[in-house]
Amino acid sequence: MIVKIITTGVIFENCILIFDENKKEVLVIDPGADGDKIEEEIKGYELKGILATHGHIDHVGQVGYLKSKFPNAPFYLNEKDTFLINNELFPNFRKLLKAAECPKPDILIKEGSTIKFGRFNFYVIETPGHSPGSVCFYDNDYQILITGDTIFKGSIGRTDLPGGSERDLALSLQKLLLLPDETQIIPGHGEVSSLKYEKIYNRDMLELIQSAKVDIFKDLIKQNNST
Amino acid sequence: MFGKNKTIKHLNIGEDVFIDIVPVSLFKTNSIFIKSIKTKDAVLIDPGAEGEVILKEMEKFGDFNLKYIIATHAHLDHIGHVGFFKEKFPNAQFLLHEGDLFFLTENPFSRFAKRIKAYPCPIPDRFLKEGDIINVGNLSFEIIHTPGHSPGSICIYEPNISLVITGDTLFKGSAGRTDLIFGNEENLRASIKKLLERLPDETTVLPGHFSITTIGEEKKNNSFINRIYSENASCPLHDSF
Repeated sequence: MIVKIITTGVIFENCILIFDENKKEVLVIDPGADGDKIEEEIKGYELKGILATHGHIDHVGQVGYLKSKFPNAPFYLNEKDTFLINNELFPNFRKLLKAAECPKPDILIKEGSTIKFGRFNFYVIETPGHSPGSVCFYDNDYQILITGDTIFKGSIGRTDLPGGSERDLALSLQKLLLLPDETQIIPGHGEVSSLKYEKIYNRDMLELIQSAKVDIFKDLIKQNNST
Repeated sequence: MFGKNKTIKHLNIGEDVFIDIVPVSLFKTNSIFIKSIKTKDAVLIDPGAEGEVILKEMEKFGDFNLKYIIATHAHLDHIGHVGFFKEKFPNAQFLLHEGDLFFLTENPFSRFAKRIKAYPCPIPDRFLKEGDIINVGNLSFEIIHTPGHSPGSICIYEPNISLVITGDTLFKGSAGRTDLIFGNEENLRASIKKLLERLPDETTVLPGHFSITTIGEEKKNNSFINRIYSENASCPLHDSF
């Protein structure tokens, strides 16, 4: 198994490729821009699935392109973000990313869904805040966390785009902090990091959690009581 | 009207040029207003905060026609009030290097934005690249791409009045930090070498923060530059890069 990160497009979006060399299969996460570059990278492999951490156009911009080349590869997305997949967000953004029309997801994922691929078992953790349907993909054995735009190295996602919420993001970040310190983080933009590093140096995250005055446990209890 | 610690400077360079430097916000970002006096065409560089204060200052010295708003890079302390000026001057074009678009679309400094009452930053009307010439009246500004502090950092050079606006790439005595997201020290070193190679010693350097200096002075007294060349003794200043 090989995990490869390629930086795509004008805003350096990390597209993550997971190769199963034995079966000659590949999984693509967040194909945001540079569809031809992604296609070149996965040459000789069969595309088994396309995952998106959230529905923003810089993360799903090339799903349409890849689906046109590999019509059988299912597209996985959290349903709460389907309203975003063809929203340009900023004027001309579609053109800048050379994004194709994004098809509807084939498989809807939610908290607790697992996606098996080779030796990886990706567990879906819902982390709303940057967008309502933002998710992280977590593999417990290899301790890899693919975070999309929920957390970056040293920073966190913005919450002022459609459906974003600061309070939700604060809760989602608390949820991620429960994972082991050794967890490697692959964010949607910028360098890879570890949870341990972020717990110390991510001031944006620590400030947000403090100022939002939310507590994941209280919130979970409330949810459980109401259901 | 202005706070006690506001030191607004007017730079006297050439007959036809009016330059006004307004340090804004707690970071004292140098917001720079340059007007060609004869044609009244003007450009505003790095309106990071306190748009009202900058505007008052601009209006103090007669009519102008704001043609461009340029950001040397898209960190929040340099673009915080671009939105304010785009509202007031919808015909002025906002220009930025494409390498920094990330900071607008992902806004990684959103929490800090509230503190300086930042306006949502508009998407640039046009992207700048190395070698572009921006004409403002009789002035022509050349864009020099200097990545390092951020991927899309630029310096703005006017050879006729021998002025370079360096943003956070080069300061008096030091250089920009490279530990922020997408910063890169190696690129910054290369960019600064490029500036030193390109620009004559007498060029006035107007940085994004702190005091004015010259290229010649920095070659002598800049700790970052000294470090580049002392660590890399086989590559003295005049060597080709």
